[in-house]
Amino acid sequence: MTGIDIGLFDYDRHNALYYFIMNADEHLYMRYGGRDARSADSYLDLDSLEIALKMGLERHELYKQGRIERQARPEPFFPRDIPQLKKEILPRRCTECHLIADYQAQEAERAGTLDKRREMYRSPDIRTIGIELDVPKGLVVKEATDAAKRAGMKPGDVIVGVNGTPTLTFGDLQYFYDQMSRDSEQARISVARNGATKELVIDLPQQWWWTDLDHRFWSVEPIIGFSSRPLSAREKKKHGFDAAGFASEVTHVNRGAWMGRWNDLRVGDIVYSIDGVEVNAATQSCETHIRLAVTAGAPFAANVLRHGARMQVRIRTRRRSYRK
Amino acid sequence: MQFETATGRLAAGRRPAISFMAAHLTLMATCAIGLAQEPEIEWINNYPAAIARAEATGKPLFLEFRCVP
Repeated sequence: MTGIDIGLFDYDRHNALYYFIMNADEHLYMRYGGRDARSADSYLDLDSLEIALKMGLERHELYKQGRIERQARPEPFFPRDIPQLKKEILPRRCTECHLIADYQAQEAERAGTLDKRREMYRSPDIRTIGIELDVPKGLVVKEATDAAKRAGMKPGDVIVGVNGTPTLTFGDLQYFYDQMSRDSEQARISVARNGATKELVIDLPQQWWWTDLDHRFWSVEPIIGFSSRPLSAREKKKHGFDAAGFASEVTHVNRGAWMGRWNDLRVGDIVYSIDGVEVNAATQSCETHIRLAVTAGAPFAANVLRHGARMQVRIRTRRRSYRK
Repeated sequence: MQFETATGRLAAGRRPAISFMAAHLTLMATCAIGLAQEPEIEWINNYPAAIARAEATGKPLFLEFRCVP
């Protein structure tokens, strides 16, 4: 990756495989790749790859005929432009894509510009809004449920655009969907149906951007050492917590966290406040709130309800060193 | 129609190790042949060379970023 213009070849660096179909002018016809938290292979498929390659050849013919306008090229950006990466990694070894992502996140964290919803929770899962693709067929919708169904999406629709940007592959769809501001309340998905194109406006649910981070190994993600489940509205009311709050019941305390005395949490504790904050408009999960609000490695104070008694617990987080 | 490709290998059914990622560049005969006859794919592990070859031949490029075990 050392000499690659990562400004041009921008993608979620936590993909194990990722492709671009392009030409000698460095005009990108499409992306192929993308994954979800379930598997690195969820959207990798030889049939859909063949479809993409054929479309690539078609696009290339159109380009040569002057029927596709040349793209504006993004500003060049190389791994050497990331100061800590240049200092710590480039002199020693090949630059791993995953490291590029992690060092960029660390740079943003140092600069105070890190938007964890955007940079840490990359590649929102389209299943969260109810889109299940027929993967071998590319962007053909297999099943539409929840928000996508309410917007009018139907099985057999072919997704051809997101927020006005054309999409030819799942890689395109995931990339441009990921570009959306995490404050967005709607997404415009264009579908081809019966020879016509229709734009569907999907109302995004709260936390539409949330994904499981387990496969990412961010060093900017605080490791908190416990698992929890958000309380229901009824449970919050019963305990007198804010209905919009992130009060959550501890369901598991990591053995390492317990032995290392990161915290004194017990299964069954209800964590209802972090450093004096009870409500985060972005989430109703205390775990997600902590991941968003706490700097990796920093301690925080949690207010906890334990056997009817309210108390404060000091919690340490851990910061991953990643694979440096 | 043919492709210039830039990548490592089309590893059908093979799960790559999640360690190092690299960009590779290569040539592929046709998309169908390329998929069916993987050993004949000529991958070019040099980006400028692949661009130059694509320019000379008028073919599109297929660029792969992958984890290298």
